[in-house]
Amino acid sequence: MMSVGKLGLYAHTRLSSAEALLDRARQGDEEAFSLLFEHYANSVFNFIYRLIGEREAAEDLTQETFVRAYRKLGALRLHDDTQLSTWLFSIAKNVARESFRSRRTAQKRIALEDPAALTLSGNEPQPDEQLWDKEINRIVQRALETLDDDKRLVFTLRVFQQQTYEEIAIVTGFSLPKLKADLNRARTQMRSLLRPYLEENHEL
Amino acid sequence: MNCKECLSLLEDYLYRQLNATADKQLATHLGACEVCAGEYSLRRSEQKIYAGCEVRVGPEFWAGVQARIQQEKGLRSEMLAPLAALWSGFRFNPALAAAAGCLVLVCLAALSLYVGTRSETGRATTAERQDKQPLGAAPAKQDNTVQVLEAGEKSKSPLDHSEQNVPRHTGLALKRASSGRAPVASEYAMKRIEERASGGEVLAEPNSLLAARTNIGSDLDADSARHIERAEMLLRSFKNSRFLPAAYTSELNYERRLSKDLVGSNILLRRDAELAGNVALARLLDRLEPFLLEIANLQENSGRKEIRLVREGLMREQIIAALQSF
Repeated sequence: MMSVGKLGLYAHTRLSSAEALLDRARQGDEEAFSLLFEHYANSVFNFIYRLIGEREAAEDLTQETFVRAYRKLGALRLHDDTQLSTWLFSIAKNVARESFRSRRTAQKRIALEDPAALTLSGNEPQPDEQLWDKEINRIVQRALETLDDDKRLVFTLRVFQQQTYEEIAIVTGFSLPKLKADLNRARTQMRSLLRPYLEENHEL
Repeated sequence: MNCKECLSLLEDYLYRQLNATADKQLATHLGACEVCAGEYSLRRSEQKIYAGCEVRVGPEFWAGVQARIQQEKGLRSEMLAPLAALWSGFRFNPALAAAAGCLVLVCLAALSLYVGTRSETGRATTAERQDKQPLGAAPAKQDNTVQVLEAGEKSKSPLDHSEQNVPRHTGLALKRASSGRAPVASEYAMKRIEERASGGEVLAEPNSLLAARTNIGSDLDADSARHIERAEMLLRSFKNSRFLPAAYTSELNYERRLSKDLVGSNILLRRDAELAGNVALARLLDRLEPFLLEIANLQENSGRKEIRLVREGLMREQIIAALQSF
């Protein structure tokens, strides 16, 4: 399937391709919708996973996002090729927030002042590459959970999904100054939590 | 380009989101400034870590979405099938259209004639009554509600006035009130609603949710309130049932059947709410729908695991609380 992501040389072609797929999907063509799904499923899943922090719940919520998107396809009109992704992220954000609110009480947050939760044991044997990836993934997720909701949302969209500021503003509804400030604070906080692994990564 | 500008654009540079000119200027600055180059190197390392954290969905993932879309489609087509069948048989015919137009005109004329005659007769009867009425007598009551209440009062014993004979479920009372089958209940329900509206008495019965909901605002009609109440009872019962082996199938079948009934009305009410601009109600029904679908689609031989999953979803979403508090 042709990419409908970032602006570029073939932006017009991509827009018309996305529009054509959308038209077909609106008329009930499931294959067209499956192509759209195929293209965006990973991004949406990762986005929700970073917000929620649980794989199974993120899978359910990703499915819910696409079912809602399918239901609302008729209302979507594309003006540029980034609109589809921002639209999907907006739905995903709402789905995740609804779920997150109800789970907030049960969620275990890692306190910033709890360094034990963010350190690898020095006595353990040196992990191989796969274990290292798993471990770093866990640590990044825990560090993300220390951010407040707004900062995590902005940070996830910018750093993991590489959305532009304008796109993030559309998805979140935040003003540009607010989201830039949130992003800076989130980056500083994440850097302080990940500093030991950053050095490790440099060595690797 | 100075360091401040460079740092503000560093991330765009990293994600290749700059135009060619800015990209070149920034690259030049990075080559000349050690501090900015260090920051850039750090951000690249960070990005490498974040990029390594990407998780991917399996190929079977689409099947889940497809199944849910199919369910929704199936329900919609089931509901719209009679209309579609009617429409498919329709072929445009000018003669038929003209005949239909004439028929509509004739019906309209007949209706206006009937209404005109009726109002004339009504005026004449009232005038006759006023003529026949003795001087000083109270005017005849014309209000339908009052007439119904009077009929109710005549037919019942004095004990019927007491609170003991009042039905405990005001929801039922409301239904009866609208159907006009039970004057006592309707009188009671109307009285309670009036009292509630005037801010006088707080409803005493814990079960009188429907009356309370109907009374909250004009944007929640009796159908929606009844639907929400039924859905809440279903979900609560589903959540709390133990589904003992002896009664397992029959209990589950009952829940499934009830849920199927509710799915249809949920879709209709959700659409009505969306059309009427009642966002809160539409959102609540939208949240409720997946649970009704999940229960309706449980198989007869569904294991405890499937039921547990639905229950966990109920608890996670706190939909029962949302229904109750609405």
